[in-house]
Amino acid sequence: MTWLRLVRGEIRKLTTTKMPWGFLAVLVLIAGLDAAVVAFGTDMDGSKAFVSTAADQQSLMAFAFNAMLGTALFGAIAVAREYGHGTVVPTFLTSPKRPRGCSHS
Amino acid sequence: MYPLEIEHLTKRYGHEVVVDDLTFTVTPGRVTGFLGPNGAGKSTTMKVLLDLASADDGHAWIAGSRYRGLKDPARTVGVVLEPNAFHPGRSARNHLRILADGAGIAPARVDTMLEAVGLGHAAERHVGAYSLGMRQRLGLAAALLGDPPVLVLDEPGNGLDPQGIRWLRDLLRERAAAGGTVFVSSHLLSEVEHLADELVVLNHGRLVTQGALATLQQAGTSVRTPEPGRLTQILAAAGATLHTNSDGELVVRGVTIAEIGDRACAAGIPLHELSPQAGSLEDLFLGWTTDDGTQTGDSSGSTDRESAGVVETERKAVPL
Repeated sequence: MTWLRLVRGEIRKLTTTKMPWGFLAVLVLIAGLDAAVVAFGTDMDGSKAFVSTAADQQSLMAFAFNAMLGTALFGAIAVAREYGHGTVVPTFLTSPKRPRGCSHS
Repeated sequence: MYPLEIEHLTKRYGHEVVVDDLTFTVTPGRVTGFLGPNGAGKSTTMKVLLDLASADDGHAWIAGSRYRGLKDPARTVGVVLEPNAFHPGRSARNHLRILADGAGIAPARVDTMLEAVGLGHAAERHVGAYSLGMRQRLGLAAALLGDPPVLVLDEPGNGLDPQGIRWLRDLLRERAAAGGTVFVSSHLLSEVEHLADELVVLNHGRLVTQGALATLQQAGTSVRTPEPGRLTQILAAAGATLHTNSDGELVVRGVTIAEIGDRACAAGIPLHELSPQAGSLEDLFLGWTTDDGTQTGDSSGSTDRESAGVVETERKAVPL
């Protein structure tokens, strides 16, 4: 059950600083924009001109891909900050049986 | 009981030997001070002990097992490593909650510990706005969260105000008296002088000396007499090592202060001063750890001691 406790700790880590909320806001914004474009700019028969061609739909998907980029960026920054702030050390102390490769000296 | 045992520990970073064949034991029930100048290898030793760094040679045991072999490490060993291992945008309470979550400690302990270290009023403030002393207190709160029998503290007194130092001292003594193992590093001698029962002194990764603080502290007795020659002879015959300072003060080591007085009296030598060397620990420390081009325990000193030598240099005359 140790890992479950650690997951709970990590979730609390995410919810107690501002940065994750900022990223979440950006993701919600992107999803919202996409939804709005799909809801108001498209039509089954293509009579609404805004998103009608295949190229238009592709660019819509490409825009949504930003959300994935943002998530990946968030992961990278979160890990880097763990090391930068040294907050990763207590995690290592709590669960010292990590793979050797993870050890930082 | 959780003794800490360091056995022939060696740690290299690249070609630089940071810890060199270090062996000592930290016994439960005593506050052990880990002393050495900056860069002596104190933090590295602690990191190896906590499995945060791997040893190149030798072992570090906690109650006969490696740190990672402990059943419940977070509740067995309380650790303070760096005073800045916090996210600046997180509140103190949340910081401790995260640790409590991870280690499976009851959340109620968080507020108890915040009050205990005197941060109850600042619990909701961001740690980034904390002073060094407050961060140090938060670090101690984190270390004590799981009520661990072993404390490994790296420079816990850094940035603490006098009240804080006093509080820390009382706390560590209490812990040790209850059978806990307390291992505290510092480069501040005056701090350790008031904290520790035992000393382990490190320089350039090597053990310089270890023993009870009281013994080390009373290592020297300051004597003034109009007949230094005769007294020197008598005390040297009794197994003491003597050192004459430029102003005629005799520094005697190896015999108790009472014995010096008794022998002088028996020989009819008047004494003008007979006192434990004031501030001697600081002198000793500097003697142990100052570089003068020679290495500890080399050449002349040891042979002088063997031949019941009369004059020895300060650093080599430390009886353990």
